[in-house]
Amino acid sequence: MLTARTQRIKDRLVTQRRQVDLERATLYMESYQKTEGEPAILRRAKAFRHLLERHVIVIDDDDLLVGNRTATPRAGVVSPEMSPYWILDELDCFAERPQDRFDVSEQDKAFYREVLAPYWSGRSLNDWYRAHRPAEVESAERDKVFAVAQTDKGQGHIIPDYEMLLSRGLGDICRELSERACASPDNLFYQAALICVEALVAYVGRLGREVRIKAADVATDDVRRGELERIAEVLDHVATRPARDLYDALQLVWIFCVALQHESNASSISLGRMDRYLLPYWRATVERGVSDAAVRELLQCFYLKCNTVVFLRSTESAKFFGGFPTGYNLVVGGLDAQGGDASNELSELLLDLQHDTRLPQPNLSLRVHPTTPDSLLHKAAEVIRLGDGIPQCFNDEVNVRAFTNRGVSVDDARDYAVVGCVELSIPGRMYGLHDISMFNMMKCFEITLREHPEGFTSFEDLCQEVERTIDRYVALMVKGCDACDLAHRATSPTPLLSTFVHDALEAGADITAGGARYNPSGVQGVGTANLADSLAVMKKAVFEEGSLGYAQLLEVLRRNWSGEGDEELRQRLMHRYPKYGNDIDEVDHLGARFLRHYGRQVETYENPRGGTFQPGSYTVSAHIPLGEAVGATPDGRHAGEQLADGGLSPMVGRDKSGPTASLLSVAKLDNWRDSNGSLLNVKFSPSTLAGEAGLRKLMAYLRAFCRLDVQHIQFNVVDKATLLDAQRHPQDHRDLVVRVAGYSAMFVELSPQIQNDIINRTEHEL
Amino acid sequence: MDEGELAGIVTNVQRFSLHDGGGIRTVAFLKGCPFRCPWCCNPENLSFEPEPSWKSRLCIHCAMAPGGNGLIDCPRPASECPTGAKEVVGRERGVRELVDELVRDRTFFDESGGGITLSGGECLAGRNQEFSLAVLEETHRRGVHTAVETTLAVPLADPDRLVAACDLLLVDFKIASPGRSMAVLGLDVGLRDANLRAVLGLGAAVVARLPIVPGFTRGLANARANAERIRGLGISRADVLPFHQLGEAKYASSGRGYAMAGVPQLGGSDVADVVDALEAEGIEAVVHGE
Repeated sequence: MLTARTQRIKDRLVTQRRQVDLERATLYMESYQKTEGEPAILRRAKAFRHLLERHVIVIDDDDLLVGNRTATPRAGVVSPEMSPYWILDELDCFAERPQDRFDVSEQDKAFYREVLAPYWSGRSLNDWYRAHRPAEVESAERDKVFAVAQTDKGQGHIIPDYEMLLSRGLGDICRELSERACASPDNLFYQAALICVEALVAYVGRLGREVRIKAADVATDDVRRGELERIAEVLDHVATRPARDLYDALQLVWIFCVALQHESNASSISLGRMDRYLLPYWRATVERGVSDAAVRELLQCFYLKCNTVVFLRSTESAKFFGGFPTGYNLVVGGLDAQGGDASNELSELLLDLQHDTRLPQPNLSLRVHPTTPDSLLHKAAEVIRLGDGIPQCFNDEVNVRAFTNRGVSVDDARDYAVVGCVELSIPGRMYGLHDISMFNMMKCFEITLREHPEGFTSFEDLCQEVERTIDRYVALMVKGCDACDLAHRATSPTPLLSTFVHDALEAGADITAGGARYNPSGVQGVGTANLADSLAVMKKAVFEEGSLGYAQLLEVLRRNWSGEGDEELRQRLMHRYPKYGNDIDEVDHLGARFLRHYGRQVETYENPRGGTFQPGSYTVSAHIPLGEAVGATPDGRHAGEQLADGGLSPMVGRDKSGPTASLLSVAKLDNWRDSNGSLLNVKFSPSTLAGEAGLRKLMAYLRAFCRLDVQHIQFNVVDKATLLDAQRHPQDHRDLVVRVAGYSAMFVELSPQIQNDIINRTEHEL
Repeated sequence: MDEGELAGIVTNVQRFSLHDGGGIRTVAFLKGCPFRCPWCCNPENLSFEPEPSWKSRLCIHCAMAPGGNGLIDCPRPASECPTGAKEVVGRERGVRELVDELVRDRTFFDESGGGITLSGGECLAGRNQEFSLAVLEETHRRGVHTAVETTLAVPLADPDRLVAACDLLLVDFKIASPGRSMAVLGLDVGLRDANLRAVLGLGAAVVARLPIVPGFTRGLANARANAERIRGLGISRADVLPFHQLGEAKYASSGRGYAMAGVPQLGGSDVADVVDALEAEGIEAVVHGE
């Protein structure tokens, strides 16, 4: 349960109107105006310092932790230094658009139009990207097979080394940076990193002073004054020294998170394996006799803080990632470096807190392996049953292998965690561009049919031609991703973040310049289910039975099932041919073939940081816009209708054989190959999980998931009636949290399209 | 199906069943039942032969006017129905091929303590019995737990064989009065009890199942009579199955009249009374079954 204090904080969070906030953009510009002509990495460091010096600090009336990203919680921070253009185009739409709305004052709009946009035009990361993107990539992007992401925002999708932050303290890290900067006076990275870390130390000091001023203001309230004095003491300490206990650790981690947001303004700078790195500090606190209730309240404050930061996306991006997935992904459980169970007392506690907060962040993830204790799995099942879609579960059996297959050491692989939604990463050692592009295999299929009106001599010919189309576009996607990769290196280094990613300090190179130990680029293959279903129909109806002519099929698809008798045909193709997700080998193997082909093609390419491309398969909410780009398909889809959700999930409504069969279908894929992460949605009705017997069955389902080498699974456990009621009466369901894809969101903050998608995902009940 | 192999008529294989014998199970429904329980929720399994079915919900009226009854008015054979609204329920299946499908979820069975369950209809009635035994034996050969849902009120050709092949018998206790049971359901309680003594004597694991149905099996007297008999037979566990209306749509689909239309769901006290009656006899009661 929340305490009175944390309940008040939560109430303010969910009722607060979201604003667009120009503070960061303004301060960034002020600094950039003074640093014209200097190297980008120093300009970025100085802009960051300027920001931390001037950023308005807000001390909440209740909170036990400080560190505000924006003046009001959940404000949208614009980054015109990344791209001024989309913001300019959409300035009038933020308040009205279908997904992720924000208020903007007329005064701010004018300032943006007259000052910020003109300054950044021609200077932004996006300008660099567009100037260096090969023309063929630009034309391929118009075919909507892929869209390169992070060309207008920070890269994010990374986990810094929090353990290093907490155990060494900022002072010691400053000292090392000074030494390295002295020893290598020409190294710009060390200079920039030192500016950033010193700025952070000064910022923590400024926070402490602000807290003391606030303490003086509440002199009449002894209790609150005492709390504020305690916070100030913590801040004084952690400004330079290692954390002593849980309070220090949580406060330092949170300020660090805020600072990293100020530096990058990026989605998914994630929390990593918090049950591991917090453990010594939690123990120190407990051993000092601090009550469980006090510990719990402090953790609640931290969880609530994770919900104060949202990410302002373009209207198009918000379709792909609707509902503010900020990506404070927090992992518990899993293996230790020796291959034993790493879970501890904190693992269950960090899961259990979801009972109290019931909010989308942090995005809790449980790593499961054969020796995961029953008690931890039981706790996870209990929390899943709450219906918030939290925690999602990751399978060590396949994910460790996925990393070692990419040349990651076994020790590092066993320490993997999750960034953003479901992207797998090595904390503090990997800059993985995990969300750099999605690849629409269904669009490749459609292009293949369109380019071959004459048909194919055999089904195998058709399949190989689809594969060739995939190859063609993968080559183009890679070029686009590389241009974006280099754009970040040229314009937007992240020296503060890099300091906490090994081996950037040793290498003296920013992560954008290849300083990290591991440097993949992750690209997601989307459309497995629809491609398998469509090809299974064509295999049988066109090539085996001959009941459907190739030219006839193309004509029907072109007119989107609108002709005489087309609906009957559509129904027949939909209902009378096997569909992926029902444990039917012939169709499941088609899905496996193409996802495998995509992955094998992707992994042949190197990126500019010396890493390789690696496949993943998740859609977040992108199955809706990716579907909008694809015409009618032989699986019975109408033109523009969504693709299968998740990435690996069966097409909505087509998996009629229950959740065991769908898991077995997914198990037939080369899941170990998708080292960037993949996503499977499963929906249960609450009655299925009722009582202790229901929890036991969910645990058994998770154990089977582990044995079947499926990478990821997440659950929506909400009954349809509740969701329909929330659509009709959003005001009564303001805090209803549901699973979207790889993350959870407030249901009422999702567009009607995404809401309907969630309602329609097959609900397994018996 | 291999030539000469034993075959049975199966209407449906349902995976991820959670209340039919423990753990996560796959249930095969065999077609045909000699009894006529008015509340039956699987009416498509009453007849021993394949039969047509029509689900209005799925019909797109490609061959008949809206408002028609597909069983009567639709000229298309089920094999040509595009949506599957019209279908033939019940398909002849060979033992090995059926067991191949039934055990596909064995990873889930292993992790949950589940297995396969044969249900119906009455999976031990008439020609179903020989087929069921063969399916149970083949499943056992593959190392998977087996259960049957049965009235056990049919002649057993070989109780030893049944007990050897079946790890758990879920046996119905419906109308307790032998006379009324025979009159209303056609079900011989005496035959069931004789069979139960035989299989229990052979070491069978048995769980009693008590459907609580308004107008037929609800009420303390029926519950007490069943509880006494269950205890007397030496059965220590009973599942209490409250009446539901989930089968209603199937009556329309199969063109049968439904005797229980509009009968409300049970109140909590009806179920609690039965649980009390069972527990008073020292029997462990599980609502809905595990």
